[in-house]
Amino acid sequence: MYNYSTSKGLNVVLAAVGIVALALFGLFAFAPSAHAILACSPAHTTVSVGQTVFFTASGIATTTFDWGSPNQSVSNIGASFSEVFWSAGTQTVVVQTNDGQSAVCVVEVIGGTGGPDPGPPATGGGGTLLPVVVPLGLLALLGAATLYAIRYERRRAH
Amino acid sequence: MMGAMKGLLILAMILVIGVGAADLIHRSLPPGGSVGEIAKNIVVVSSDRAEAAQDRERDVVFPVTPSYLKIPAIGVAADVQHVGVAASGNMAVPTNYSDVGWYRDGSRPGEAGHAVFAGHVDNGIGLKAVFGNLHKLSSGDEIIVGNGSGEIRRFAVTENVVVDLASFPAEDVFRNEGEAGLVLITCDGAWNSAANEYEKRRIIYARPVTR
Repeated sequence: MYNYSTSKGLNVVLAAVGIVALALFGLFAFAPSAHAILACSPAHTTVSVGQTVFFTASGIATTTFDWGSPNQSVSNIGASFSEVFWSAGTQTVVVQTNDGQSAVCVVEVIGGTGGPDPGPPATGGGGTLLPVVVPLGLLALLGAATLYAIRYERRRAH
Repeated sequence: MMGAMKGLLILAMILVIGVGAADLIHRSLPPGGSVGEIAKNIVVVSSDRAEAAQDRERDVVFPVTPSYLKIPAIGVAADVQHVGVAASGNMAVPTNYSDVGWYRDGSRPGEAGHAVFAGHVDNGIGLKAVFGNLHKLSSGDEIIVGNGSGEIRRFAVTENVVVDLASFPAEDVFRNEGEAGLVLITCDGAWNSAANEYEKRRIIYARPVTR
């Protein structure tokens, strides 16, 4: 004997399972893709003092990046960047986009041994600003004298 | 009345020139510097760390990681910055004119090899900086290097030489083997405006002494 109520109940269960399956499929298959994340590679590398490291930004569609290392900061360049590391220790290179995303590459620089000796330090200011200071001082003097002369003439006129 | 006006004029001129000069001095300092540091640079360079450690200084026989450096003969008591190598490949320099830079990739004071320190000779407007009087040092003058705990190593000057940039003895200066010693470096000679640096370097060599 055909049990109509049993069959109906089974259909309801199957329909519910189908709906849930469809919902899950839709959730995973048609969900909006995750937000693109900026990456800096190599994320971690080890080099000797004096070696050059080449970095690449990836993960997003942006074509211009700001790069920063212990020695330099460069704005609005491409996805590639290189740096020579002269100081031993852990150093970081940061890449940033205009919309505020950033990623970091970590470089372990193995110090000293085998690396070249540094050159002599640049330990002089050289008084290079004196040619600027003196003319500006004279200009200030001239300006003050002119102001005085104008005020003096105005008072005399009154 | 005229006398008062003249006085006011002179006062105005002094103010205008003073403000302008202060602004320029400030601009002439490297990052981290301030107008107040000029006063330190002129004759005696004073260091907070050196002064703070003054009462608890004690001689030690092991190497110290430098926090301050004193040269009593020329009135230097300066904080020490730990520096590496600049992008140019030269030893980096302190970020102001009153501190001294210690080459952190080399030897520590008291260790085998040379502990190397560099300091500016002058600043952008020609005022003397921390190592402005290094030329006055002679054999036997004392150099004291201390760490944050007031543990000090003493050195005595053995040589005071000036070398051309082209013949700068980098291999010897930065050696990290052999007898322990200390080296001070600053600029000397004529200013080469085309190269934007001095043509010579003054090098002070010192050896450890114990009390």
